[in-house]
Amino acid sequence: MKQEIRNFCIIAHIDHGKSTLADRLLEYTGTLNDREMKEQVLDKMELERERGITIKAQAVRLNYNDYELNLIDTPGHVDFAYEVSRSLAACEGALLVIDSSQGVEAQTLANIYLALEHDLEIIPILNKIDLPNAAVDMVKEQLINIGIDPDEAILTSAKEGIGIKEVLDAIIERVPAPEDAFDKALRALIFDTVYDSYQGVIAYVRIVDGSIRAGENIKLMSNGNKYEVDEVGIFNPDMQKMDILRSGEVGYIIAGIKNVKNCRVGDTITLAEQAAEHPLPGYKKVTPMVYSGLYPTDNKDYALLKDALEKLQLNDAAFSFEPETSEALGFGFRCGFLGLLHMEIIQERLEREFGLNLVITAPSVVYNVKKKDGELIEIENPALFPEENDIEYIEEPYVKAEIHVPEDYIGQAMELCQDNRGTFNDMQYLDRNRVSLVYEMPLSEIITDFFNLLKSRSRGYATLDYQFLGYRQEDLVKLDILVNNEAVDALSTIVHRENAEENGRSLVRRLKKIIPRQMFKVPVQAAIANKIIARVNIQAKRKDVLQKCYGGDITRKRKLLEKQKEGKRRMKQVGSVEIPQEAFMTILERNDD
Amino acid sequence: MIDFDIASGIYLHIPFCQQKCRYCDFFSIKYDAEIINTYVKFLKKEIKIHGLLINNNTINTIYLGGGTPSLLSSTQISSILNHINKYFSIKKGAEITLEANPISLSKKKIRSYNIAGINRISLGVQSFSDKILKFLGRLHDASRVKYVLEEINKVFDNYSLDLMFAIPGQELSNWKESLQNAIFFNPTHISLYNLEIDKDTEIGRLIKNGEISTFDEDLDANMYIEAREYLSKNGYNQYEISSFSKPSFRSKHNQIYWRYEPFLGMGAAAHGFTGKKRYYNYSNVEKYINLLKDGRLAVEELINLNKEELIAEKMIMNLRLLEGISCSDFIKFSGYSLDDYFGEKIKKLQKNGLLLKENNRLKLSEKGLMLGNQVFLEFLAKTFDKDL
Repeated sequence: MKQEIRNFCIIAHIDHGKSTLADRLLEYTGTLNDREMKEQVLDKMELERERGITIKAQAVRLNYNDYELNLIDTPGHVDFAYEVSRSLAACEGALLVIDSSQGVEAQTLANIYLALEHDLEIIPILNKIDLPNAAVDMVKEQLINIGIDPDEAILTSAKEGIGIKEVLDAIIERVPAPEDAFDKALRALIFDTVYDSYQGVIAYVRIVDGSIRAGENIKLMSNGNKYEVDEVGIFNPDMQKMDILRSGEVGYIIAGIKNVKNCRVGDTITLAEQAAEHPLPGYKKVTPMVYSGLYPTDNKDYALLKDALEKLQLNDAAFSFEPETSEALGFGFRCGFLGLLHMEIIQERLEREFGLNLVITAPSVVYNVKKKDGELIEIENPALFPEENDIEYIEEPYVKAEIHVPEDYIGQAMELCQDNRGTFNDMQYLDRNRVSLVYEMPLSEIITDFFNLLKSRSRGYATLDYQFLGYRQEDLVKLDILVNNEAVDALSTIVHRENAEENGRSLVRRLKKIIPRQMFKVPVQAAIANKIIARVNIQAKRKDVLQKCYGGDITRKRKLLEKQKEGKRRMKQVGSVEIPQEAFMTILERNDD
Repeated sequence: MIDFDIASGIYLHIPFCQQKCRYCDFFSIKYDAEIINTYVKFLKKEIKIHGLLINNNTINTIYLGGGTPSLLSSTQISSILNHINKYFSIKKGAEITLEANPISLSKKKIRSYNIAGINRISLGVQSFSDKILKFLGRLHDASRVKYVLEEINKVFDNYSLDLMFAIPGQELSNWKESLQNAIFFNPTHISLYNLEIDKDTEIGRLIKNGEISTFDEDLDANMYIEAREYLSKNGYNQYEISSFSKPSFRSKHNQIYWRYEPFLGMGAAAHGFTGKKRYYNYSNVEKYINLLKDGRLAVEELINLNKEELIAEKMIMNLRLLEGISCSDFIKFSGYSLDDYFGEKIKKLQKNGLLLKENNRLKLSEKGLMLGNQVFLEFLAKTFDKDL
């Protein structure tokens, strides 16, 4: 007898209790026993657990009252919006978790829109009702304003285990069963992939139509590549081999696929013979939105870095890298990321898991440059911009930014958006004191420290979400930085002409704070098209000497000197100047002075 | 085995303090009369063990450092010195220094220390400004320092005082006042040092939390320059980066360190050097006592230095002296000429104006005195870098 199936995901703003609720569902349904249980059990990466975020999607099957419930845990961050959309496409319902002490946030709303787009049954959950500052009525009012019936909301405290049974019952009652399409030709939606060095790619799938067994030949519909299926199975929560996966089910397929690039999220798997006529909708190849240069501090580590990048890419088709050379930094790689969080994660893993010491250049968006000779080029490294005289026009990516902020901070938020070249688009009250602001903004402004500033100017209350809008022509120029009279290519940025001087002045001031005194005076200058627009001097080092040697303790003196030497080694020698790694990221922090 | 051939200097560590200063991360524990008594007993045992291991050694210098050695009674001091004389032999006219804290000295104590055999006091004055003393967490104020110095003057004809500069909140005028006050008492020796901020101290934490800011490098440099000029004008000759003395009153003991000569270190957390090996004792007083109780030395680590390391340390220590390093001495020590061994590095440092060669000696220039670390870093041995 075939069990009834419900496929659902949990969507929430960061920190609203998504992972804790997932933990409780696993516990309540006995999927894991007490011994196996730990916090954030579905977040397997050390980084995820440490930061309390979900980076990789996970799936798990829960058995409850003769029902098979498939939970798909998705990342919550805007960088992974496409992956999230594929996870949602694998479900019929979504638990919308809202922290009842915080209310609806920008990401909550973005997630609701996404869920509605996929026709998901939304079950609103007001979590953290145990908190003294929980404001259930206020949040219910917000739900009305965003078109959700507050009477349908379930009150929970995942932390205290309150309301868990009600959630499970609601999933069974309200989430529609998947359509029975067992007799149709196989169509399986890939919603995530993981690389295993023994088995190759493990594709996480939702079987939409038909069924699949080991030994069958399959085809990926985007590229036509064919493979023989080695194994199919489900997540229980570890991988458990099964004879067959049927329409409606969630599980995994292993088919000797060697590279995640050949098995992309969103693609459809069908049978090689009796192939389905059309793939499932919504597939697209995601392209990086943000690029930055990664260089080993010590040039000797180039090969190690290359090796590490290749290993990370095995598991992450959205991440790209190409070798590049910088006059200042030597040999390195230009890496493409989905967004800033994705970038931070990769960088942190390189340093942590591979022990690399890196210089990271400030992130850049991709610019479209039309040259006077008619050539159209895409530029992801400001250092490679053509001469200003050769440029006909430049286009840059724009996004629609949605900011949620308490009424008291509207002024600050609007000012910040305007300072970052934002164009006001819309403003709406979410409830009596929370407002949604919509701005159209260049993506390049968002990938500076915009979000940090937004947070600090709203005392942490503002939330942000954004969507790509398209490319727009703007009057942009390249801002060069000269250190000791030599241009440092890795410090070049693209800025709007109107802000160029201010940016240049602020940047050289910040560099002065970060670059330590050298043995000689070092001028730091900002220039546009070879014209100097700002200059500061870093005075020569004047005093640096260890003092008295207590009781003949040479060991201590030597350790201090060794530490100093190590500090020098962590700096990048550019010409005759030693520049600390952080200097290359200071371009990001715009308005701190 | 520690293997001393010969050591002419002895350092004794007395790791007790009434209160930890806010800038200090050296090993010390809270003063307790009973523990000190036991400690002295086992310090004497350590002296005995070393004395029996090293035959016929004549001692030229003894230095009691801390911590706060002036927490010891004169009876304790004289029993320690007698013990040294019993198992070694203290040369006539040997320099015997006691590091002292103004708060723990009295008129009576000063006299009785002298009678016990101490002939040089090194007084931790640090500053003559009450505001600065309070900031540093010192228990004494300026009037206490003045009183103690007057009393020391009556008894000791050789004493040194320590002054500190580059202290957050300190101004040049305040520093000059401290120097003037110091000169007024006419000590034979003055040590100056800028406050080194260690992150594990209270002041280190204040800086890390942004509650106070780091000291301005230019003002630090100006204070040092000011002090050098002022002391030189008043008859004090600088002979080491931090040390100034009246003619013939250099610290004999400290020169052992800078000349990179062997010295015997005893007491918990004490360091010693045999000429080939360095060692240090456990920084745990209980452990120190228990090991000696069993008749064992309390050495935590004995470091065999390879030739490269010995050479590096000799360079770094010798160059602290204004007289620098003698080229012929270097050959005797290493078997190489300085130019053969460090040619390129020395040339580069000379070109940068940090080193000078004069009369067959290599030494720090005026600029090098201010930027000594930039010189020392060049001479650090490669083997010191773990992953190179």
